Amino acid sequence: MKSLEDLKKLRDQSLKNMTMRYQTNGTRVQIGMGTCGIAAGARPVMSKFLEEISNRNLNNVTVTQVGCMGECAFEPIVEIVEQNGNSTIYCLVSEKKVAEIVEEHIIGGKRLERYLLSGVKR
Amino acid sequence: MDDLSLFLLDIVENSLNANASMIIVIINEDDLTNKISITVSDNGKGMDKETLRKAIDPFFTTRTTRKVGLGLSLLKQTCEGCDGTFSIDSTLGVGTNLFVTFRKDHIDTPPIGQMSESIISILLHPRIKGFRYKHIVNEIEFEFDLKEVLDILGDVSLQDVEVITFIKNYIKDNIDYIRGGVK
Repeated sequence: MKSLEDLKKLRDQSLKNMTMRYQTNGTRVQIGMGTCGIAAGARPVMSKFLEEISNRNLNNVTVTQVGCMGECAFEPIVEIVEQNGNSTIYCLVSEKKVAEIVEEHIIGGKRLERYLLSGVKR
Repeated sequence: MDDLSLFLLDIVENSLNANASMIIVIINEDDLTNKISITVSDNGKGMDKETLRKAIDPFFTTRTTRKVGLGLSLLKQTCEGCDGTFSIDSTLGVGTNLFVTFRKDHIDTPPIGQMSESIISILLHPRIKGFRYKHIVNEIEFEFDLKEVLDILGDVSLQDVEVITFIKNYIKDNIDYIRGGVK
């Protein structure tokens, strides 16, 4: 079973590759975690993002959560904020879509038009 | 909401939105009393009597992004439907305490669910400052204190994927361990 001593070891071993506090560069994945988001499945979506990012060793990507984004009918909603400030909002995100978003958008730099909130809401 | 861990996440979101700098969660599963209880205490902005009275009304919320606030009313309905209790008290400028119980063997009592995933979601909130979690199963305890983790991490971000994955597994292992004997 893991202990917090193991966290100290992990910190010491991987320090060079770790994200530092207050670091602002890199891509940010923001997941809506209001009641609507939670009920629609935002938590497993967040877990899937963490899993995909960890499995692909993407050191410059962080995951964070935000409150209700005001589009409850389209939850789970995920916003990808790139280093240059460009923002993309995906809606009705499922665990299956997460792998595509990571592969095509975060790694490939190409927006997935079919999942955009602006497209689906039209 | 399918399980208690999702309810917990939703309640703690309220605390975070109330700018709480310390949130304390205690889960107690006890076979002897046949009860599951959840306590959430925060030092957020609190509510006045009128707001507190309305807090469990599904058509009331202080948020501006939408006009309904279903979280607390859903929780109240669920625990009272499982022979449990619901109580909330709050003082403006001091904080809020929520205490709910469920009859453990009631057929409609939701399962505990993945507490580690909810805790990770809480820890990834950009405004998280102080968070303590205690889970007791038949008097065996597991405690997690964010401060202890932040002290170990130093300048390393809690949002580092390797760090957050480690913490998730650490919490999951420990909760699974104390819940090992739960029927």
